[in-house]
Amino acid sequence: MGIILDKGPIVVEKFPAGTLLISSADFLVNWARKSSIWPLTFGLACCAIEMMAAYAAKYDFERFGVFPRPSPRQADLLIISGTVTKKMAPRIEMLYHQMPEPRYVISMGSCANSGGPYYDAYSVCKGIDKVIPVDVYIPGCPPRPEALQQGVLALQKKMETFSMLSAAKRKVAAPVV
Amino acid sequence: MIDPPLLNKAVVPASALDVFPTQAPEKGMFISLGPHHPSTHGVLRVAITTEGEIVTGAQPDIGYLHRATEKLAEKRTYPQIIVLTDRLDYLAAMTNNWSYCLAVEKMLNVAIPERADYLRMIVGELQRIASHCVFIGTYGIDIGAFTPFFYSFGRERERILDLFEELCGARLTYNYVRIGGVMADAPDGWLDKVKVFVKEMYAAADEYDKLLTYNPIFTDRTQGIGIMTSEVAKAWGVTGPNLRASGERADVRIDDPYGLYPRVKFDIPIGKNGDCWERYKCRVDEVRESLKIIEQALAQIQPGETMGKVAKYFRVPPGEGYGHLEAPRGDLGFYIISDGSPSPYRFHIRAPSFINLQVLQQLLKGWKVADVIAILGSIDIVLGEVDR
Amino acid sequence: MSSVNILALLQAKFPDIHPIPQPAGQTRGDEVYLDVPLARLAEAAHVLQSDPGLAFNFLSFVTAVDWKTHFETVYYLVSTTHRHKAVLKVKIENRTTPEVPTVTHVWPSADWQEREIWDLFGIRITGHYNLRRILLPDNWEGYPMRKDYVATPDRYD
Repeated sequence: MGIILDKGPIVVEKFPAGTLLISSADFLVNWARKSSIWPLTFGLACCAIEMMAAYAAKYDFERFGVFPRPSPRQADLLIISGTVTKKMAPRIEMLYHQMPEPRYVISMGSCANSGGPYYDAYSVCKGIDKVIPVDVYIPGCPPRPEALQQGVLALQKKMETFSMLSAAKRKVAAPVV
Repeated sequence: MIDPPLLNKAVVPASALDVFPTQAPEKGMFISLGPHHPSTHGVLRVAITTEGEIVTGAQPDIGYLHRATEKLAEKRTYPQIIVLTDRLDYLAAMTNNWSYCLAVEKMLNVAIPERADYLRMIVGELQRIASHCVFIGTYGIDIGAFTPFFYSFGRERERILDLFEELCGARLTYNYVRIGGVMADAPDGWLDKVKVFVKEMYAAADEYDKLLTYNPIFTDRTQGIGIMTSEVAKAWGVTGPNLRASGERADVRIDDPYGLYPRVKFDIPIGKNGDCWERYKCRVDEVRESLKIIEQALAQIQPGETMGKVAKYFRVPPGEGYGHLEAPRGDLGFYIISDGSPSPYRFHIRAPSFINLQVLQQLLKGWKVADVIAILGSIDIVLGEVDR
Repeated sequence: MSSVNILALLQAKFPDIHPIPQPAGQTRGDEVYLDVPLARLAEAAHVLQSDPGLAFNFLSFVTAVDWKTHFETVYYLVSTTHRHKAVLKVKIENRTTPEVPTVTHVWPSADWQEREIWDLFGIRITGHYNLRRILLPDNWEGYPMRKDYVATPDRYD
């Protein structure tokens, strides 16, 4: 699957109506990916309770196709909900690297965005983006479950903009070792 | 299965190697449970050594959520610390605020108006019900029952959070109980909404009994498991429903009354055996007792002031004070030493979950690996309080 | 039991335990405040717990305070049978290598709280079976709750 995505678009582009084929395939693949985002069950602190409320009956998350998975190998979204401490940060890095691509990260709450109310504590990591790359930041302390759902919808919009062709060309220009 | 001496006596391990073996045991396995695991109690790691299915040693490893609240409090002013206390036991923020305000008000010697005290009692007991709803739901998930979670967490607790949102604007970290009173008076009609909710909650508590409490699978997995006698509990400093399930009649609302609790009549559910089921049952019964307290408070509350005579920029006179109350997890206390400046000199939190968690070093020994989650869940810890 | 009786019982066995007088203008609760010398702590703990007239069977919390010139550990004791409370304060003059004996053999609930004191203040608890860092990572340098602690910035700051 990976080699089809890496080399395929560059080959198909050369054919007549190749770009039309690629953009239709893009549309299909992006629709499939954004309609079934499976986050990892990962909660750190108070924001985790609002995340649980988002999964629960009142702010149902499953209507977006979002369904929690306990293992990082089967998840494609990591929602960092809560304060990241210096003791926990290496473990989060390990979890992130265990997730297969394409993977996304949502930083939920001000503690994960930038340290939050604990910005001057000695043991707190000032934002999870010092450790792993973040796609969507959700402000709030804690953000309401609707805010988390809006964050996931924003991530869906970001997923719609993914293009196989430009990703393949980027890999040719700067190959990942 | 369990060594009889281990049941009746608190045993502090003899050496560090007992709890933290430097090499894997010869017979058996070393399992590291956490800090990321689906049993959503937070970032707790329990290092277990097993021999076959039986656990031979257990050492909880904490600190993955240590946010240095005690050090930060030395730089914040007294009203700013209320925001920090919200996030300690984040499932019961109202009682955290209230306990801290009790400590500061003791040092300031300020009188709380009656309406504010009644409002504090109503939100405190509503918060206790909400916290126990989370416990019922998540403990059900730990045992494997997914449905009660949607009833208790997704329905009843959301009703309580709607009430709180109407009262103070926040769903989880309220910052409502302030030094000298409460932030704002209840809006018109709020007290009637609470009355309606109380009626519905009685029916819901019976529904949890039908769904979970007497469910044969649930009772098989929790009755007779994780037995903690009252000697062991008292020696390890366990407080709250865990201690009451072991047969000890101890509740800060009775032993060291605060607020207007002497004016209301309520019972404290006491258990007999001290197993997981009793700890769960005590919390379900506490929900009913809290409903009784709220009904009495609603009958007794009168219009009045909601904030005492506290200056806008006050300084706490030098000295020390300790204020504590019965939080849903146990005896929550704040020990403050002041040197006359706008920030405390030393701010210590007596966190019930931190002290309750120590008993796991003794409590898990001798049970099967499958019982570890049941016992850990029944202690009902919140990592925000354990690590502070 | 009133504070006068508690003091009388204690001072009969330990003449060098004094009550701490309430300084003028300071606020304080209704507990008995006792100044226990460091050398007497271990025996006093045994007596406070086992003597039937005192019967302090519940240790509410143990913590430490950094007074810049010396350290102090604070023990808040409650008797569930007699309903009285006491606060023990133990002064530790040595600032370079502060040490205090453990009370876990009397009140096991001091176990993790003493580890926290070692972790955050650097006060060594002699006789503790498992003196390791509890809240901070094992390779942390320094004792953050001391007043003279300066945090070293790392990649997470």
